[in-house]
Amino acid sequence: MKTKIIDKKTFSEKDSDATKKVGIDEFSERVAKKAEITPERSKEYVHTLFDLISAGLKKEDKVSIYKFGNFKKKWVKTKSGINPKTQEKIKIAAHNQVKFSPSSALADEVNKKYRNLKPNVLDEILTLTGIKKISPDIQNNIQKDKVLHNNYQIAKKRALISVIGITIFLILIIFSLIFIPVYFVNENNKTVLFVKNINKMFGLNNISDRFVKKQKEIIDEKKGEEFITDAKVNLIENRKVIKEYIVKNGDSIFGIAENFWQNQYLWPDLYILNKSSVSDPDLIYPDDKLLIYEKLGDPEKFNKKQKEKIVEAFIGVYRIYRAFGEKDIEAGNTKKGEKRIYDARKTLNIAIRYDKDLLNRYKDAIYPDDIAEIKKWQKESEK
Amino acid sequence: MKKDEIVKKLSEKLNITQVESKRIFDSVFDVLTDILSKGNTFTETGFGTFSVVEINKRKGFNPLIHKWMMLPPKLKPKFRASEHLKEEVNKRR
Repeated sequence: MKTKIIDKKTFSEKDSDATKKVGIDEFSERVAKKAEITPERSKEYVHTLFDLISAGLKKEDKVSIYKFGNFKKKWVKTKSGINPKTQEKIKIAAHNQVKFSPSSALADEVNKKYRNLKPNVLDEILTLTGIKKISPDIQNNIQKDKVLHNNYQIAKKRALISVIGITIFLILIIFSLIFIPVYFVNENNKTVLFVKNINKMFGLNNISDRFVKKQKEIIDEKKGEEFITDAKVNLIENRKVIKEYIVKNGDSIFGIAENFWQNQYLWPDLYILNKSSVSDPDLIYPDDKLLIYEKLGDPEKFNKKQKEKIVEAFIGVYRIYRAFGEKDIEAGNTKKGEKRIYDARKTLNIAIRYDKDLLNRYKDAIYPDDIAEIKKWQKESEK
Repeated sequence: MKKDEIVKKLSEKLNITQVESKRIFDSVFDVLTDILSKGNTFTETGFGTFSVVEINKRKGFNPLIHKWMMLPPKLKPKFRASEHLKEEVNKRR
């Protein structure tokens, strides 16, 4: 075994205070002091100890010393290296390497100085920008990404604003399509027709029609019939049949109403309830059957509902008179027709006592010339 | 090879009891750790050199929490095998 004793003097000259090289002599002396044996013996012990360890490494892969560390033999494959002096490429042959890994106790003891320091978490951006190894390409990409992100957010804002604007614009267009025909009612106008067609496409036809219908409607007979059936349904509601009456010679509807209800002005009620069996209110024949219902109420103390019902009955009668009158005029019996129309106006005039607003409320059901005529009569009566 | 084996062989070679051998063995490594903890180096000719290296603070990636860390400076014991030991280890029988 090679042994080389380091001279103490040269040792002390070479090294100053900071790091001190300890040789075998000083070492063995210290061991001798600690173990209380002679320094020669301790020297011998140390030499044999390290000899044993190297012998152990020859035979085995690992020599472990408890609470100090492990010596390991590691197999290294052939690899290429560079001679640092001549900068030439060399092949390093495969060989065994001795490695020492300290135990945690030894590592702690050695690292006394920095034991209290702990690793800190770094910000991601700091680590990204702070690493030297990062290539300039990647840094450029990071900046490009930032710019792209900013642009994206600006574009997002603009898109939102534009979408809101477009929706408001569309809503305005739809509203205008609905309301334009209301204020410019002229069915022959091309633009109105165009708008109507568009409304049909969107299913808005009904809405616009409702406004277009401002023009006066001509009342036809069928609609009148509908009105009468409605009135009949209203009148029958919650009323019981008192009696079946068979018409005798000399009876009239007024008389029958007077008999059963003690008021001849309620005859339209009676007539409309029996409309199916009696077509002409002026003509009833013997052996006709009339159904007589309960009295509608006291005519001087009618409810609002009862008033409405009786007024509707009156208007029904008015429409029937009117229809008959026009038929007669068409057929050539102008005198008879005019008398019927006069009767119609008279019934309406009677109905006004139950509803003063009648002419306004039932505008659609009454002919405009009749309205004018009745208004004249009322002015005369006031005088 | 482990500590017990080494102690036993030493006692056989040097004609001392195993208890004493163990006592000396412990004191050897106590002294060695004491030397290293003060930052000094110890060289056993024919075996190698024990020394201490200071590692600067550095950035490291912690895979557990998946974050970059600033690791503090550290003093680390180091062993450098002598040429003799290297030859011995690579000898072929």
